[in-house]
Amino acid sequence: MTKVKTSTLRKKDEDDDSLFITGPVGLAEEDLAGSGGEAESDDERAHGNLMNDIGKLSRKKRMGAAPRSVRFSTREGGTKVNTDDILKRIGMPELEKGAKKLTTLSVPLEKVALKRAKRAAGYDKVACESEKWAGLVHKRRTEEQLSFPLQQPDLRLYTAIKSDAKMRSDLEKEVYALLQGAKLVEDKQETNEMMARKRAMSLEELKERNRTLWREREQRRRIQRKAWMQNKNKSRKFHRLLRKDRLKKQRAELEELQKSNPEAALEKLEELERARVQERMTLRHKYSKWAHLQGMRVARDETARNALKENQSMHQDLVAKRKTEDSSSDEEEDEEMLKEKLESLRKERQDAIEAGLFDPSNPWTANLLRQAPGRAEETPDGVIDDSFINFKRFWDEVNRRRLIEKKALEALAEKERQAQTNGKDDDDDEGEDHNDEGAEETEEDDGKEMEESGNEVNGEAEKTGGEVTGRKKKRADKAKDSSEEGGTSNGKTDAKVDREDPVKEDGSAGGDRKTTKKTKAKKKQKKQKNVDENLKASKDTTKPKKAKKNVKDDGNDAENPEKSKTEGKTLATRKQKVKKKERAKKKGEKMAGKDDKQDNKSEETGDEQKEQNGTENKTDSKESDDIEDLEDHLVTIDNMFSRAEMGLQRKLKRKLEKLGIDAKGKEWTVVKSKKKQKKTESSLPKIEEFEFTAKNRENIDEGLEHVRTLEDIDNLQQRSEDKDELQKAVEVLRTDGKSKEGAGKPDKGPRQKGSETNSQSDEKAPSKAAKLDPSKFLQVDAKVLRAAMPDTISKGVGLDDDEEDDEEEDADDVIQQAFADDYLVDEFKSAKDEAIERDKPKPLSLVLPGWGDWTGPNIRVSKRKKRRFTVNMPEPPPRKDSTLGNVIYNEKADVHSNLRKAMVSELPYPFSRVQDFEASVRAPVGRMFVPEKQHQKLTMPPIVTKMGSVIEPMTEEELLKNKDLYLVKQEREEKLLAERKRKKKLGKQAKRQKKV
Amino acid sequence: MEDSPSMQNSNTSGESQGKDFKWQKRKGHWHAVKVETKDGVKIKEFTHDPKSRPRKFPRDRPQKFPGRKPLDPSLQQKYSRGGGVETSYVRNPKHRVMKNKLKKREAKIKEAEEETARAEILLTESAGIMETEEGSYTANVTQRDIRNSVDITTAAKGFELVLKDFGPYKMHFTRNGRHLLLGGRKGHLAAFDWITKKLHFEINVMESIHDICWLHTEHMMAVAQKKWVYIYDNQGVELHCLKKLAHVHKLEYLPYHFLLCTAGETGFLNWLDISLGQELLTIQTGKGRLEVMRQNPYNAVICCGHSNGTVTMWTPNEKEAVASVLCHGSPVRAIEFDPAGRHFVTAGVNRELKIWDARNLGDCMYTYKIRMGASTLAFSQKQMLAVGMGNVVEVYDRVTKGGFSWPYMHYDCKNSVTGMQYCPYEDILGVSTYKGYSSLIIPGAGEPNFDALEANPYLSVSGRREAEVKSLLGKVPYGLITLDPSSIAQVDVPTLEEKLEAKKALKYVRVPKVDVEPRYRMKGKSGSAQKFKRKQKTVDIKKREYIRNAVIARDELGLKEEKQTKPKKSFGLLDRFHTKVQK
Repeated sequence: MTKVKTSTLRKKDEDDDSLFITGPVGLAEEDLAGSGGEAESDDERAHGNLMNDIGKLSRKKRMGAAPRSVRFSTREGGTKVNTDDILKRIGMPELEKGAKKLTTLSVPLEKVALKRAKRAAGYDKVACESEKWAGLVHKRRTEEQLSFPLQQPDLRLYTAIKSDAKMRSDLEKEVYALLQGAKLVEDKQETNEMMARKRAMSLEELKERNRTLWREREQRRRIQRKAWMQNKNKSRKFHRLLRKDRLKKQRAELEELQKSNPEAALEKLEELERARVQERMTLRHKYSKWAHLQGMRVARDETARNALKENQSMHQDLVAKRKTEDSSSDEEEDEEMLKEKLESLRKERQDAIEAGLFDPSNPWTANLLRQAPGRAEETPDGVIDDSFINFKRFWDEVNRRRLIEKKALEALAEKERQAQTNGKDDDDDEGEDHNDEGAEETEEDDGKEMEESGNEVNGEAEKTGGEVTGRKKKRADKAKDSSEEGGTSNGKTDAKVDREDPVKEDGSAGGDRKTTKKTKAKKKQKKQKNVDENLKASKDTTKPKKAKKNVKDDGNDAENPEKSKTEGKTLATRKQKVKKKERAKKKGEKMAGKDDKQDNKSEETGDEQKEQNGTENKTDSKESDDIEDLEDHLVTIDNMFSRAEMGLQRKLKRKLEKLGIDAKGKEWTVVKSKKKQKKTESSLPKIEEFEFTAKNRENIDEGLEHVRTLEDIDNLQQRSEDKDELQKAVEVLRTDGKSKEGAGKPDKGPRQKGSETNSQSDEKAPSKAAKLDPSKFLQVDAKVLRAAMPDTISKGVGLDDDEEDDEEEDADDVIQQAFADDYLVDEFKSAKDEAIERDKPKPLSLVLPGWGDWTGPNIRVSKRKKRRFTVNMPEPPPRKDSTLGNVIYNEKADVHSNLRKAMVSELPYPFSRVQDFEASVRAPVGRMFVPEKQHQKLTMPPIVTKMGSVIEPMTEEELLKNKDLYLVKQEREEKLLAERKRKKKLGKQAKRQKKV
Repeated sequence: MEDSPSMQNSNTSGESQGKDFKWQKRKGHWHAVKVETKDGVKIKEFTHDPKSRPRKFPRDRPQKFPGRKPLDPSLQQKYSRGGGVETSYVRNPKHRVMKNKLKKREAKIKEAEEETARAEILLTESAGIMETEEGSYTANVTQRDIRNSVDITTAAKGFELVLKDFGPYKMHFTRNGRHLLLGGRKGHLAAFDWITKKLHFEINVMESIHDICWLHTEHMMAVAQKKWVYIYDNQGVELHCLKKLAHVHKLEYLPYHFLLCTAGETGFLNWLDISLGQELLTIQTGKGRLEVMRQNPYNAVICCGHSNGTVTMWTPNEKEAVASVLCHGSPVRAIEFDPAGRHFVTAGVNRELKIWDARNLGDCMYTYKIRMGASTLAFSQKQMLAVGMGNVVEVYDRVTKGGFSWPYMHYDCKNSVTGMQYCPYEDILGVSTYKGYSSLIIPGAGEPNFDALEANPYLSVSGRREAEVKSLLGKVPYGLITLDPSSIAQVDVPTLEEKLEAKKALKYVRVPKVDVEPRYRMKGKSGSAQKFKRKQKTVDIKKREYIRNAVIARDELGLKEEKQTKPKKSFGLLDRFHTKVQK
């Protein structure tokens, strides 16, 4: 190929060089005519041939490469011609202009870019489509309440209905007439007449309509009529034809289907199969009324007999046990057949032993070992294996060579023995003559056979004569030749021909195998006839000697027995004998074709059976079988069809297997197995993982414990700390932050109003210092209330003498405060300090006893260790009561775990700030806090659905209803602009008017 | 509150001016519209000053139909719920719809506020106050004067019971103010409908009674007797004897939580859920004998006064005091909260009376000096403070707003005052003494408009039943008791932070540095290369393990970001054989 290609390329280059016209056109033509015309045409032709060759080589059709029909080339080079020049010469300015205007098309986009562009365009389109819904959707989403179905029926009640009530009373009529006369009332109602007028058609239209109606009716009628007729028809012939037709059609369909759609064909076949099964179940053909009638007529009527026969055969076909696809096709092996086989085998073995060919290691003779040749020997799958055949050939070859060797040895021995005896015979010529005769005869036979069976293959094989039917025959011929040579060189051969004969026969039979195979296959038909024959044959084979006798008794070979009896038997005669035998065989066949009862035939079949058993048990294929079936027997169409169907089915199945239905099955199995695998994979490692993780957890836990004990050695062991972090995180999220006792950092606490108040108090800066000291705080000037003096106090009661009392009391107070307050204030201070101290995070001592340390109670820890392993906690945020001298606030107790459980610890969706969320839940919505109406508004469900009503999806009508929602910006702007313009115009007009 | 000092000054100046003292307008835009004498009592009605009202419509353009009456801004202020969600923070157009919804919600809340304020119009009754003519004090008006001048029903409300034998007495009104419970120290226990004077029962428990308390209805009452607390029904049948509550001196009932709180002689605080009969918590306060105890009606926190001058606050959730405030330089004799729970008053032995801001702890608003240390205190619904000192009861008005130093009312009980309580929704102050009980008429003390859903004085039997069920259904869990009751509507920020941190830690797993020193091995297996290999192996394993655990944890917690999976190729009917996606 490559070579060819290069050559074409070169050729092309040359062509390109000489493509352009050099010089004026006319001159060039002359030149062509004068000098290189012939050469050019030759070249042309060669090129054409070459191209053809290339076309043949490459399977693809070259559509694009059209043959170059017009080619200008000149030998001598010249100046190149510009298209402009030509145009000038032609003198067409328009063309020039056109040429100038011509611009190159832009390069088509790359595939990727094109795709991208398409995608973009598609996106735009879809976006545009969806954009129009945006407004409506937004509106729907933001609506406070949607009550479905959104299109509520209009339940307005019109009290004033425009009724077309008939005027009954005269008064009414009169009034109406008056009104109408005054044209105060317009009667908008359509009268019947008007409606009819509207509906009215033209004449043509009417006709057309009538015509179509009639046509339809007529068609319907015809179809009905036909169906009726067909149903009524009792003609057998008609029905037969019908059936035939149907079958034909079916077959054609099936064939077509088989070609186009094997799956469908298979389905069809399955249908047929089902029909068959049904038939088999019901056996309608046997017990139908028709069959019954036929049975009654059988005695008198020939056709009835035939029909019954047919029916019978069909019945057998139906009832026969069907083999599964994988068992070989020819299976009508009854016990008798088996017996027969067994005996033939035994005989063969004996023969083989006699011939010295019996070799236990030889697979072809191995079967002789077995006592009962069963189906096991047959190939398990009905398909013939090529390797198998080759293997068989190989062993045949081996056998043949051994035979030759043996023969040669025998020949030698004979030579030694009979060195002195016999002279030369002219048997050779005779043999040759015989040979010719045989050939002729076979030719004739073949002709007859052709007529009879129409077996082309056989016929062909025979037509070529005895020369080249098959390898075996050749081999046999060679063997003969060699023996002949031996014979010619050594004179007369030994008389131990009897021994050789069967072998030879075997050989010849082997040679003829291809031809005989099929005929043999016929014999294995299910027909009773054949079975009978086989029975006979088996009987025959039980007496092989008898069979031989029969052979010898054959009328065609009268000399043979004599010759065999005589010792001086030549190889030529042997050969002749073989030929004759063959011929006899053929004749026997012929006879069998004509008359079944002839002995010859039985003998032949017996032989053949034997041969078959010996050599080719396994070689028969179903296909050939089926074909044979079809050819050999006169079967009914149905039968044929069924058979064809079977064959097709098998074929199809095989095909489908190849095609992938089987593969599909495999897919399924694969899938299943995959599933299983996955399952197992997923389950097994999971378990492992689980265990593993469990272990890991344990490990982690252990680690955690360790970490916990040395909890705060963060700096020393970052790894463990990190692990701890992970674990902590998991814990936090798992417990959902509810178990706050350990989890929450106590110092942090949720921010309370306290913090705000803190800031507030900060703002109240002046009092801050005073507040910090409770004693100062307590020393606030109190306002004196003009309270009454209780009786229990001895001093006089009176509201008028306030001043005296005050003075006295003040003195008392001073004394009281001087003693009591300080003590209590101090107490409180210390309590507060204590509380602060208690809440403060303490530095952690991680000191552990180690090497070189004494352990036990009251052991002092070294300072160095203390220094080293004490972790100082970070400073907590300032206390809320830090600015209040007289308050101890225990935040941990106030914001306790119970409360924290109830608090929200996650920000729900739309909120990003804590304040916002809190603000959103700040207002109560209950009836106790807001008026009922507001309560209902605040707790309105966002969606209300009416029970039992169908909620339809939105249609585009919704868009039309809410036009302004999806008005595009542009449109709005345009509207605005238009309005402005209008206003301007109006203003101008007004101005003008003013001027005027 | 801020401007109170100046007000005080002006008031004092006005007071010092002389006898022609007049009650002034409370605030600038309020003015008295109507002054009428109702049953001999001059009652002034205040309405809002229309001049201070902001005008919505300009005068020059009067509208024919100006719409609804504009709202009084102070009312609006009263019902305001504060600032709403700031939607300006939502900038992401993705959340446009949500933003819109939030805005709408805010508008609704605003509307609700306004409507609530407008619903005040339904409070038909108005509170008045007693005013006297020039040259006389209201304190000089005796109970007999009032009784003589008011209508019969009101006059009948002022009465005196002389119970000489079993005193000193304790007293308690039901929440709707209809029923009165009296308990004498010497075992006398009596319950009656004090308005109709119908006695429910009267028994002698034959033990000393230290305190008494109504429970959720007038059908049950708790009595702190000599040793234990008993529960009686309104027939005087003993229902329970709560032996867990021993040596109790003070009883307090939290109506919304159904909790009975007791304070004992030995310094124990107890909470008992009466709906379940379950004791919630017992606290050893360690503050000695608990004689002073009150609940804060705003947040249901129990406050105890101690001899060291502090007031401690307790919740049934924690064994430690939530807060303790140093109130006096001397022992605290009495505490009282105003019904709204915004203020509380403490009285010390050192003749001090202090008014505190209950929500802003430690913030003392006013300090007053009185003649004697007050033993009992009572706040009316209209924030009139009754102070019982010895045998004298004095009522002060507007104490929380820096009222005057003159008492509003004065009453001499003849005997030492041992218990005192304003009757809800009535202008009545009940005072129990050593030798009896007296019901005093204090004009303008009670809330004139009662909320029938909350506490209905005219409750029928079926109504009571229903209310009982309703209140049980609306029982507030004790876990929500805290100083700031609105914290339930807050976000637990530290936990939130923790969660966020944890999520981060799980989402972006940082594989920790693994530092392994492989063991030394003999026979040249600890060459640097070999050692390195071994080390690398273990490090890899550990890292992988760590990541795996992290991933597992993440998946378990549902933090996994879902990948967008391609839709599987469809095989039509055969799709059913696809492996199921496990969720």
